[in-house]
Amino acid sequence: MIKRGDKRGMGLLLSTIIFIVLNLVFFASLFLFIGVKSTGVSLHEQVYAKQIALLIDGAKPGTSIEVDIYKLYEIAKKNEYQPAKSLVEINSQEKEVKVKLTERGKGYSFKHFNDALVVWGENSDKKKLHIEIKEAKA
Amino acid sequence: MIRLYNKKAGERYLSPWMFLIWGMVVVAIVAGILIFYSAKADVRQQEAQLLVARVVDCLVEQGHINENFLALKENFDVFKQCSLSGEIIDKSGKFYLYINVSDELENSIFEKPIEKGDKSFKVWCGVKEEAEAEFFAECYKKKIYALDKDNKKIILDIIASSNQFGKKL
Repeated sequence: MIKRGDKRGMGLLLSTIIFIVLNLVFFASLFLFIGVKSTGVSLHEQVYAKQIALLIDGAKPGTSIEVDIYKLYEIAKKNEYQPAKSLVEINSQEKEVKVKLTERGKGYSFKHFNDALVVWGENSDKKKLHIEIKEAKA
Repeated sequence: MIRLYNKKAGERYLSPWMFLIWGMVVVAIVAGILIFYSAKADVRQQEAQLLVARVVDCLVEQGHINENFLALKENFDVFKQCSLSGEIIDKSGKFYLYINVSDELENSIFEKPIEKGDKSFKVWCGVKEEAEAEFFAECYKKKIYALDKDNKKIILDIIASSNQFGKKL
């Protein structure tokens, strides 16, 4: 049989446990949020997408561009992200440059206004992005 | 002094005040972190400059204006001839391009200037010259002097404007 004093003790123990669990959840989510934000993933996605789009915008047909994306691979590795195809994607139809560095995130996209045909390929061994600007098909 | 047995344990820890304080702490920390890490790479000015450079490169060659451009006037397809995307510049609502052609006395040669994209950006450009407006489109203006086939001076006024911030997917 549980005595009255024991009931009070149980209540106190339960609320203390709830309090500690809530504290743990609170601080864990806070540190997770700080951790995610401080990796600079979104800033790097943004900077590289914009830089590549500007390079394409300024290029004339016949231009070959090689971009060092070593830093992107470093960040992706840190985030344990193994891309199926590539970290950078250039959609010539949509005129869009997309950079994605995490499994959970969807990446960052930026449009370029150059109407030329953009042929590209990513070398994951050399960690380079190769872009060729060709005359658009009529 | 509060005696332990006079207070319910849950009341001590799980009061609404405690949640309110936690909420305030969360809001303050999240806001601080977001402000600290929300650095943006704003390239709208560079985009506007690139657009002007592309147009100048296409309309002027070794100091002489493209004769095809002068002949076709407003009907000159600036997108096709300069390899620019009409879908992005004209229809996305994030760009503006203005080209005016005049003679040396600054009398307009074309009936009306060539204007593509969001025309309201031209007003924004004027506002930005007078005041700071972070979210107004960034503009770049350039006046170019070129020669026609008779070596007469032609003035090209070009304004390009971009308001493309990019998109987090």
